[in-house]
Amino acid sequence: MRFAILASFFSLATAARPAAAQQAPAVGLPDPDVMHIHVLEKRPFTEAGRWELSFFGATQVNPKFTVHAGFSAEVAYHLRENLAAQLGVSYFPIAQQSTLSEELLTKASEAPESAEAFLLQGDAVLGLELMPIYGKLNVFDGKILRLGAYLNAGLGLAKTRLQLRPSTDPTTGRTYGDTGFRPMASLGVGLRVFVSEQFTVRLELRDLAYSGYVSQVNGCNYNDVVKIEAAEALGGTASQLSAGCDERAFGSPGLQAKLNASGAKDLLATPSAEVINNVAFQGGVSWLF
Amino acid sequence: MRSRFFRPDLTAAAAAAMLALCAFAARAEEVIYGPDGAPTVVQHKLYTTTGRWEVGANFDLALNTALVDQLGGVVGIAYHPAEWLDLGVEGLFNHAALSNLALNVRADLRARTRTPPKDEFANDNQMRLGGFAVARFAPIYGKFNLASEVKVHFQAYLLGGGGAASVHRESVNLCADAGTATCQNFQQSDATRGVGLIGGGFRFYFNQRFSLRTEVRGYFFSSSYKSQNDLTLPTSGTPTSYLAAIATFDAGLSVLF
Repeated sequence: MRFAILASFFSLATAARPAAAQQAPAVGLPDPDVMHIHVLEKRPFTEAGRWELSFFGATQVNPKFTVHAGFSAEVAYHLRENLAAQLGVSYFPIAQQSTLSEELLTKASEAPESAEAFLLQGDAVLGLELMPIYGKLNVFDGKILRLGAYLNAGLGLAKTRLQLRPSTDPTTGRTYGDTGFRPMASLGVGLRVFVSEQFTVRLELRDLAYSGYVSQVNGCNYNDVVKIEAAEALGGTASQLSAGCDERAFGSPGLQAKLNASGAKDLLATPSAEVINNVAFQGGVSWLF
Repeated sequence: MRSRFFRPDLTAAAAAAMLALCAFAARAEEVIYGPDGAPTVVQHKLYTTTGRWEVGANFDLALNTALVDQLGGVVGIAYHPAEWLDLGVEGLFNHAALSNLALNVRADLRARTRTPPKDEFANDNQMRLGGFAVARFAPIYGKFNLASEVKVHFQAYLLGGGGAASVHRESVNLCADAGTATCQNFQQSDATRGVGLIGGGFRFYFNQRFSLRTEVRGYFFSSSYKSQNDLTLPTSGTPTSYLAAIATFDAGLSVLF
């Protein structure tokens, strides 16, 4: 029994020694710069195997000729702790030419090329997210929050349009022409702060890249809009338009349709194969379940 | 049957000694748990700032001035009365000139006529020099691991302030010479404006003394453009005031001492 008690005492005393060893300088160790002690800390919860639903407000941060603002939603499945598959959709109710574009038109009778003035109405993107950086933060030396920095990339479709007339046009006001769908690539970098096991706050910068090539507006090519402009100026209707061209999509008969067709004609006159980079800042919240 | 080796007084003493040792060990290894239940290591800041001075130098690039290219630097000194606050003064020096877009617009301007009257382009402000009093409010301190080995400590902050700046304007489309000839000199002006400043940023610590600062700032000041101009007559036109905003990205080094 005495042996058992002494053995217990010795074992507990030995267990207590590392604390003392931490305080006393190590004797006989090699260069301390070579010695690294890695503290492995188990995460309090994991994202692996969980779904995440996110909602964002979004605004374009590189507005020159265009302005975009809207919101987006995203559902993600975390395949691993730092890897997720995601599907996101965005809608930009504000997708219009910038004040500068309208200034150019009204003050200098100039307009950006169609590629530079291309507007993104919405998109859907399927992609992957990698979160290689993990950390913690505190707020006012109080609440401790986990954070993760991530990269994401995806492919999808963009719904686009062009602004045909400026907001200052007394006849038409601001008008748009449909330019259909484009393939789109998305590349993002962001920060996810875990407020709780379920609730996170997300900040993200996302580059939405899509082709700015435009050959048709409202289904009409350059020759079609020339005919429409001429016909509407005379109070008539254009004939021999190409299949799919919707003359009435340019507005009510007469002056309005003529002006919109004229705007489309200017934009279709110099098509460009430029790739548009619409850089958007997104801030939002998500729920892990 | 009681063993002759079992002595209650010795056992009690041994137990007390063990508990005392355990208590010492527990104190030395004291773990602080966060609200999520995880042991956490950010309560005690590795890099503190209270009572210290900070000198910083940033480069500064305008983000939203399509008609103007503006690039320069900001230098400043600040004092940290608390971990979450610093107060300081800054000087701004920029090289600013009309952008290629503005020059292209100029090159494509149509012949000058008396009518119809034209408005001058807005947002052609060139903020060249400035002095500001700035406060930074830094409620967030954190750290993250890069590649599981390199720990990076950071602060996130908001900043605000005010001061004055020298703003040069060179009109994109209004000529300084009367007449209808091709314009050789465009209207220019210089003024000192009161400027408000807001922004946010991060301070990433290399060590106790050196850190990298990245910021996004917005400078706000009163400016004007002339509307209803007779393009052949420089003195024509009516000034229209507006609140100008120049957003900049700043990044640079700061030294705490």
